[in-house]
Amino acid sequence: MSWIKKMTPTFIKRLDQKLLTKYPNVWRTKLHYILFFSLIVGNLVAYGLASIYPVAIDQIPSSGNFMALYFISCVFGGFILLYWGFTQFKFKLKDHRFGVQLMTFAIYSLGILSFSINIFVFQYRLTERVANVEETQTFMEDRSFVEKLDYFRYYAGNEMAFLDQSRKLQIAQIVGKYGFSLDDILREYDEAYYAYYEGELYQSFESVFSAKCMFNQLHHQINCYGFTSDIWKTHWGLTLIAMLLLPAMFFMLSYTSFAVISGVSFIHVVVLMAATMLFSMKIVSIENFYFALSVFVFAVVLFFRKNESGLNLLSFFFLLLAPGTLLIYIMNTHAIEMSITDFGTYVGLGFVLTTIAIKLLTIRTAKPKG
Amino acid sequence: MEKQIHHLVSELKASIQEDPLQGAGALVEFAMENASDNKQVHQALVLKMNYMQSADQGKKEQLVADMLALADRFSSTSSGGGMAVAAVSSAQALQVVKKDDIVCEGRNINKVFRRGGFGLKDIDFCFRLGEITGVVGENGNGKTTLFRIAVGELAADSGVLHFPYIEGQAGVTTGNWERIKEHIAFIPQDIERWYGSVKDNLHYELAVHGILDKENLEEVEYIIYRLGLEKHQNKSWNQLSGGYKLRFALARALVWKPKLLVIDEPLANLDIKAQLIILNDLRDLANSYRYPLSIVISSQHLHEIENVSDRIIFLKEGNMIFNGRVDELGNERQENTFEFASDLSVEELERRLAGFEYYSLENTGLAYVIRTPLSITYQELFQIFLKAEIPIGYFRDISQSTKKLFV
Repeated sequence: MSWIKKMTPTFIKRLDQKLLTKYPNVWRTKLHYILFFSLIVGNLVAYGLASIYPVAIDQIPSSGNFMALYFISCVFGGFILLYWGFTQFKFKLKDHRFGVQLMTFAIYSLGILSFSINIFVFQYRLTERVANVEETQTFMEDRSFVEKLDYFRYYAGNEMAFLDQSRKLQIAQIVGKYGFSLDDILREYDEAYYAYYEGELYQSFESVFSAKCMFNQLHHQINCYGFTSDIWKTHWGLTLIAMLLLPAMFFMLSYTSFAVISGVSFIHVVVLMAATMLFSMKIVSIENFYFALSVFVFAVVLFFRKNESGLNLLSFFFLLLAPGTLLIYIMNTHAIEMSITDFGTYVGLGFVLTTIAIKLLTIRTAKPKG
Repeated sequence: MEKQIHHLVSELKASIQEDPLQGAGALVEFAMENASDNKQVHQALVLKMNYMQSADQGKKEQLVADMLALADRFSSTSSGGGMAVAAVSSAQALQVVKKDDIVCEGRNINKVFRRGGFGLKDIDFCFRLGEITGVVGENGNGKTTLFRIAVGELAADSGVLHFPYIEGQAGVTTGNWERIKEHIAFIPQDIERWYGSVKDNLHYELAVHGILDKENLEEVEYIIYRLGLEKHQNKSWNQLSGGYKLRFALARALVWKPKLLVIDEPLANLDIKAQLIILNDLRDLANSYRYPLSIVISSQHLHEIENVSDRIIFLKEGNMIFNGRVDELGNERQENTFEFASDLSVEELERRLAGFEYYSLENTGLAYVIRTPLSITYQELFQIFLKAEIPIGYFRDISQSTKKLFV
């Protein structure tokens, strides 16, 4: 795309030419563009956007806001990844040595990780700002005061009359500081029968509490837990899947066409859905079923295949099988919300599976077919 | 020899001074014929391209001076014996790369397709370095199948296929298809769509074949010039005409100097002018002094193929009807065959030819084919037509052409 060329600095263009004539297998992956636009430009933009996103003590993003922003970042990143995938389709991988294939896969994983870091930087900066909207001690006192009253849950509406005027004023002041009107909250709870923890005030407090948790500002708290850490752990879980699944698809794009990828991916989706459905009905063990159905459907595809080597298809299928199996495992063990340590372990495990799949692809020799 | 070179260099310098643009072209041609190494050819190419692109008068003058200096260097190389050395080393290279070295050889190749039952039957072929082999035959008679077997895309059911010249190269062992294929280029009938610019694709193709850095840059510039792609080097697939797409495919195939180039129906989508250019290019490439190769080409354009080929293979329903040198075609014939067009009906023609000796007269739809005894030459047949008052719109002696195998 011409606008990408216009945005690309001269040193990257020079590097591009250098890689083209010196390291063609790296050049075709466009790693240099990805690293520049993602790690440098992308992170600056992510940090900048998160810095100008409206965050103030009376304007605290709720957990819903965090999730929505996370979703938007993922969709945006997804489009960029799609384009990256297309560039891999354009210049096919012509060097079939195992080492080159493994390096290509690793480069794709690195690119995916750099996109994941973009999203993380945005969330990190936003969380950091939310954590600092109020000084920790004051915030904890405010939160504790409102929660202790437990007022909104049990004594909505006219029960306010039991409180003396000075305490009522104090509550109004506190909620006012966080951008809420006591009258509005009471009306909202009264009319909609909301529980306190379902309301926006609670969500705002939880945003700050959870953000402070993440930045160890609440090290003295026993139950320091919040949705921010859930998002982050989930993010790394998804990153792991993406680091195996997307490079596998890119890898296929480097060898074959969109049609084959769509076909193999579709089979995987059907198999996964069927397996999940039967598992929920407790008919069969999901892992066994997944493998059995995969083999069966693959055999059917192999039989009806056109213009594609059977061994190629088998290799591609195995490439997707690695992240697919890991996904099932993670779903089973509820480990998608994973810590950095778990992430490392699973990445290692995933790459072992993927390496086996790539080796299978390499076994495919240049021998004449038929 | 030395005097001759000096004289040529003087003429070249005069040409550069008189008309720098034309002189630049002459410099490139001179370099390609006489330069002792690739660098000088590259320098000449760069000078020519820079001169064509430059609008600044001062820069142009500098480029003319550089061209003259390069021409002088040719002369001095000659004085120092460099040119002679180059001539000797080329001759030595020729001794090593014998023109008749067999690149690919197939014996008793059989292939039957389960669906449809079509197959190749006991096919023998031999593709030699520096030769063009034309493969002709009607559609669906096995040309593409033969090509796919020869380039290692399709396995034969039986027979022996080997690559003596390629297998003699360093690191290439018999049966090592991965290495063997590094020396084979195949351009299928439907050229696969590519992305990016012509130039980037050529650089990439070269780099993945291990030709890196400066050599990569030089070779790409050389092949771009060689195939006349200078004006199209930054264009993409959509911006190129059918002829230039084929030229690009050729450039991409040739840039890494394969030993066997197989092209399936390259003339199908080209106009007559483009066909001639491509065929001439192929002839020159096969004869290349530095990098001779074996070219195998299929086409329905019999006349053109016969003109450019050294050998012809004719396939009919999977059988090899003829396999030999072009000049051997029809050597053992029992009759002469002529093709002609006339407005008269078969009956009328037969009536008018009643007193003359001929074996058969057929209407092929577009023309008539008459078979006569060997004693009747085309001059005599003309006389017969004249006497019989047969109006002729077109006439061709196909006695020694594969065309007669089609009719």
